[in-house]
Amino acid sequence: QDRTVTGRVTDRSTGEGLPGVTVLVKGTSVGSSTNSEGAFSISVPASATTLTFSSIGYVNVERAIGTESVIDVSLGTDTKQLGEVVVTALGRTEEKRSLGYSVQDVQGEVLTQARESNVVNSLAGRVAGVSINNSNGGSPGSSSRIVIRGNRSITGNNQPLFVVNGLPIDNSNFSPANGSGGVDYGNAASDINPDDIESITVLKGANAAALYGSRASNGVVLITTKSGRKQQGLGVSVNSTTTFDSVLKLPDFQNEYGQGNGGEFEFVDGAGGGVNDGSDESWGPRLDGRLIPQFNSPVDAAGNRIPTPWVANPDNVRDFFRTGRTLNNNVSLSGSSEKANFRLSYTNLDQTGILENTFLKRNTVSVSGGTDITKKFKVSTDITYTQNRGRRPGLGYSGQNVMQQFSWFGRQVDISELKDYERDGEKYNWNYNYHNNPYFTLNENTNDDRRDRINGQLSATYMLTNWLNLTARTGNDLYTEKRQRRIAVGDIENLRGSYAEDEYYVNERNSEILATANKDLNENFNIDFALGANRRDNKVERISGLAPELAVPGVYTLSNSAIATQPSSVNNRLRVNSVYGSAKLGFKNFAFLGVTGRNDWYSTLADANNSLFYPSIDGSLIVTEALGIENSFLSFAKLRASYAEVGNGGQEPYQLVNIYPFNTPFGSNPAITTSNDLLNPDLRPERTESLEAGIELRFLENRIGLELTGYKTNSIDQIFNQLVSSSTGFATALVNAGVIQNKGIEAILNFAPLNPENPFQWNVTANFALNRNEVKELNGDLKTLVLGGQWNANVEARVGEPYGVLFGNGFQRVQEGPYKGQIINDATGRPIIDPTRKVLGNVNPDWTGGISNSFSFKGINLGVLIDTRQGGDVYSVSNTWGNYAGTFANSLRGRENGIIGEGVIANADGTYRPNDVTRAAESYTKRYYSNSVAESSIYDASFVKLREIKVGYQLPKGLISKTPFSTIGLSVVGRNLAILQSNAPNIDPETSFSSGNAQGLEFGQIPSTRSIGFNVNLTL
Amino acid sequence: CEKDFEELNTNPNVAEVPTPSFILTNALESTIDRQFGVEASMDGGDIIVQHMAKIQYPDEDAYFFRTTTYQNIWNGFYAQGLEDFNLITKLGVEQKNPNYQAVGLIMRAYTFSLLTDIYGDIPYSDALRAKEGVLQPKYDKQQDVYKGILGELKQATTLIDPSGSDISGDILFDGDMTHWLKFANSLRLRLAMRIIDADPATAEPIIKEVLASPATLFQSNADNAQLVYRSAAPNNNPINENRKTRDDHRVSKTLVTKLTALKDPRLAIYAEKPEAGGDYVGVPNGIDAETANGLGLSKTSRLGRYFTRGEAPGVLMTYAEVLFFKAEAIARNRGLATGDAAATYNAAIRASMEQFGIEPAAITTYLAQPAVAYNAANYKQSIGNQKWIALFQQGLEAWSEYRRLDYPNDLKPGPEAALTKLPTRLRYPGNEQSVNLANYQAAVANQGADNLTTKLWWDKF
Repeated sequence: QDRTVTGRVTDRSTGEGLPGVTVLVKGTSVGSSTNSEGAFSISVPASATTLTFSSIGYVNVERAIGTESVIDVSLGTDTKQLGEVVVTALGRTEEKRSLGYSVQDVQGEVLTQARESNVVNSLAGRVAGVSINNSNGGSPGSSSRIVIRGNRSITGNNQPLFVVNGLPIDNSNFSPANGSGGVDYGNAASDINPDDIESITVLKGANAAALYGSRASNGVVLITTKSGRKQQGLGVSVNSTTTFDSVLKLPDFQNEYGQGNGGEFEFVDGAGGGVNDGSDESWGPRLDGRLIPQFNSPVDAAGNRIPTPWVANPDNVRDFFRTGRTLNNNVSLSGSSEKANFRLSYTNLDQTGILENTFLKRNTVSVSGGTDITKKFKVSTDITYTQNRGRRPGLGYSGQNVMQQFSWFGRQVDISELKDYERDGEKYNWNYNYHNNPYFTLNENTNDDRRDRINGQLSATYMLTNWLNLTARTGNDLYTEKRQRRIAVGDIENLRGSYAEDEYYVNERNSEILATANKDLNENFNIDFALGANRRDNKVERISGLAPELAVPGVYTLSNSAIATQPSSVNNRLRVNSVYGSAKLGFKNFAFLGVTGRNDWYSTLADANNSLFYPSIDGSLIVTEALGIENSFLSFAKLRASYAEVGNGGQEPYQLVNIYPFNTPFGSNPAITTSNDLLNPDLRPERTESLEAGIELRFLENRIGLELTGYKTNSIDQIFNQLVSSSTGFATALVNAGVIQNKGIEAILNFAPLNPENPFQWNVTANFALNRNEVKELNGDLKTLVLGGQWNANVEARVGEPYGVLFGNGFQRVQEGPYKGQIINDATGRPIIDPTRKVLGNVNPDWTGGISNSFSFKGINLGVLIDTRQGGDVYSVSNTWGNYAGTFANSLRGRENGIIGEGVIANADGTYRPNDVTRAAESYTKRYYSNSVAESSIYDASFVKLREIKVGYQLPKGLISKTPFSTIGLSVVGRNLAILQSNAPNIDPETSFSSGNAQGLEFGQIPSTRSIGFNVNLTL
Repeated sequence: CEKDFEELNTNPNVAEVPTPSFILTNALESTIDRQFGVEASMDGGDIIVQHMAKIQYPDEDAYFFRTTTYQNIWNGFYAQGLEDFNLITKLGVEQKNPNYQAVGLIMRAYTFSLLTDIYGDIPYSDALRAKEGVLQPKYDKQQDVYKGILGELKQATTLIDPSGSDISGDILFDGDMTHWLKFANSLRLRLAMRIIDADPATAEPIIKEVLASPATLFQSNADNAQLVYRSAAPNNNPINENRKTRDDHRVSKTLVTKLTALKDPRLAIYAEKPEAGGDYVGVPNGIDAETANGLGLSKTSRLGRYFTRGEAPGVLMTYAEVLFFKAEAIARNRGLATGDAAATYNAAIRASMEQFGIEPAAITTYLAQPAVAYNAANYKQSIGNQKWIALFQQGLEAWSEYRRLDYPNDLKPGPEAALTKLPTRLRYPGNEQSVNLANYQAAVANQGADNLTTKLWWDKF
């Protein structure tokens, strides 16, 4: 016999009605939600005993129904993010208390005030065990790498799967930049619009993500977007952020000596015609105002340069940068009725970079809605269209990277003279030998891209009984990305110019059916059950063309080519079919045991290897409730543990049969060649075995919360292209071998020291994570695998070492005796480079952490986020060349009197004496920072950053009651405000070329930026 | 669950079946590109023998060869050249076309000879067997490599049938199998002569055999084995491509000094006069970067226009070489050949000069000089000095013959050089220690320290 219970749910602190609260009959799927006033009405079966009230951001409440027909409830805000309902694998919502693994939430509002245009960056410092590396802060839309609990795959993907509303979203970064050049076009998940995000849940690692099977190994970032469900009637909100971006850190340049070598310089043609005027180094004359012919000196009637004063221009590099500006405006319209809801949102991002003529523009339109067609049949949909347009700088050691010429450089150059990069139809520059005028590079050699993306889904749910639902859904993530790369005629590296186009088509389609059930078996036992099947189809297509030399200058089209154009096309497709299920048994809502299983069938593997099963098991126990502990000190204690086996890789098509790629024809003779990569018909996917255990504690009436997690993962059957001696006929061989182990601990501490009744509130959330990673085994006696490198160090995966060590040339050092460890210099007083390479550093941090403080008082909020990475090394080639070329301040050492370098010199009898030979600074420094040695440019990459400060003010209701607005919030925001600690000179140590696996390399990064601005948030 | 999987995983992007002619085109171009590329020649053989010098980034000129980039020599010759030549040999057998088989064998032998002359012991019998599971090939002694490749060349000469099945994709000789036969035999002469001091028992019968049938050797410059590049990228000469963006090389002071002293008309071909005017100015080898920079890009002699053109040939072997070898065979006086050593030596110089279009009168004048005249008392001096000149821009061969004949005997490393004499080999590429350590160590144990001064097996003097 059903009966109706009504009531009202209010916010405990404000007393106002709470809309959108889920009201469920416990143990069933019978539910309702509150309207805009917080009122609800629910029809409950006679057997029902308890109602649960849940809303994201609030502590869940359970109430016995008894005989009452009216139940009013007030919910306390869940500042400690404990006890709430969380989104888990497959987009389901579960009570966090029932989970046997670690997940962590980030609420949408932290993403939209002090915002990052790449949403991945917003997670930095907020989630324990999640490390973010932003590649080129000063380049709008550059990529960010996110890794959870360390790297598990040697050459495969180490980044988590991104899932939006239950559907995977592509996060590719095609042809990323590296140490020798390229452009960072960003990682594709950066399309996700922060204004549309309700919350982000991070499933940390295999255990939480096990239901994703072959894609679960690196964890999952689950994103839930906003819907109209919480808005009764029609609501309009506007969110506007404006920030100004300036250079956070530049190298420390010297300003005492100008261009040249050996103290001499005289400009004739800038290409070697004058004294050292082809040189792009600053070992020239002292900047003492002496008169020297320079690139910008006036020319007399006879065509000779009239010498001008040789003086410093200390800010010449800083002045090259402008203030970047980011405008972000969002307007959304949402509403719901009893049977339907919708939300429509438009966001415009308009960012101009700190480099001239670089920008990112993004328009996002998203629509979502749902309706109950009958009481038992619901449909919903969400669709997002994103249009991204970027113009981006070149990176790496390349003439297309404007930063390259500031580590080389004439320190006396007046940068303002270069702005007109063409004068009288001629190129105008400070050097005509090695470098473009940097303004020429930025304005003429552009890298444009445009990505148009539609992703969305359609979902229908039918409630078969009050405990069994059937859902069918299909979704697509589809985009095309077009890149156009111009090199103008007259470019220093490509005199005749060039033009390249790339177009990508990327599509992932998922179709799923899922049955879910939740039933109380009896008073004590509850079972939660899901069974599903999915088909996934991926397509990646690429078509590229290159006009290697332009026939007509200034016309950028592929047919404008003086020589044969070089076209290519790639079509890749694959399918993965899956069935999966989960079951969770709950006992008295304090003990839970869950199992999951998934079987994936891969189209990319041979028959014998293509069916893989991925199981997991997890359990949790609320100790305080199980033991009936109720005291004021220990409020809550939970133990949890889980084990999972999941997969990674094996999802590249065409890895089984050897190939003969096409090469450029010789004249009219077609050319093909044996691929350098030996493929493998017996390929299997990588597999990760993951064990995790944790404890969650709350003390003093939940004012202190502590969550500790320990884990250990073994990742086996690694897929990698093993470097082999080319004498085999191949450069690499694709193998399945190797083991990487990760183990670590994570801690999350929540602390609210003040009484909740106090009008002044202070909350602290701190997180800490430590991961130890070791490459246990590669393949037989294979000892190392090169992940990437530049100049004289590789980033390698070496057996017995952490994943990602810097391996390269150092200096020869004394092996024993009183001088043990000292550098050995040659008879001329310069250090000897040891030809035997060795491990010079480790790119993995020792630990990472973040601490977030928030203060609130009468509508004023202050938030401060500090995060840190301690340990780990970076190979900074900026420091190599900046010193070699005499532009960095360190290179001032011994300029006048020479250098007696550190270390010793070998005596004829095999003993050593302290170095006693004075070398000219230029000669010594060039050896010490030679391009044959890496050791002198490897630094500790630790940092502490003041990541964010936010001061907000919510206007009191009384003040705005006469306006049409229901809320008005104003805030001043700052991101990346300061590097509080760093041990690496001249660079921001948090840097890389792209989001690829080879991290820990640096050269000529576009400087990271400090952003300061304001945010206005209005609702109607 | 696996419906359509096979079709889905069929690669639509590349060929899965190799066509020998297309493979041949690519393998020839990539091998010859590699031979004349930066590492092996421009910053390798050419500067080691002091034909060229560096005016910018002179590290290599002082024998600081970067392990990372020098890996390219090994990778390029083995994985991009040899693997494909090997495949052509196999396809020749499978498709019953002995001419393909022969061309594959000849180019295999040629490429292996470049490798062994750079490093000494190299993987040979175990090489190119990845598909059979050999991922760590053992190194063979240089003597065994030579025996093997000389055998392959002999086999090739027996397979060639000019009236047999056609081959195509041959950008070297346009499918002319007679020309391939001449190249194979000329190469046999070169390689046998290379080892004559170390293994006369193997070398001498071969030298006798090939010199006894001159019609199957190069008979004029028209027979030279050379890849004629095209004027435009990407089929242009590697030097031409390099000069589009780099200006690091100058003619060596050693070369300018010697050619000036001999009034050698080839100097005008080999070098350009400085842009800023004046007579030829060479750059000393192995000087420091500051000194090199100070010499002035426009005040020193660039490489001659003949060699920097897009369509400049990449020369594998010349008629002049055949004559120099013949002269040496006569001079050695062990019954290897008959004839007049001095006349053959003069003919060799004449052939070299004609190769560069020098007028006959100028050649006669040149040959008449006492400093040029053949010295019967020291054939190595005459032949060594003149080969050194003739082999300009064939850097690897010039280096090998310098090591074998030890002339010119006054080449000295530059002041910044890490050595007191010229390098006698290159170090094995760095990756070998990572990926093939045990075999690398065995090779070092056999051959001697893996440095720049260990002598190769054939380098007896």
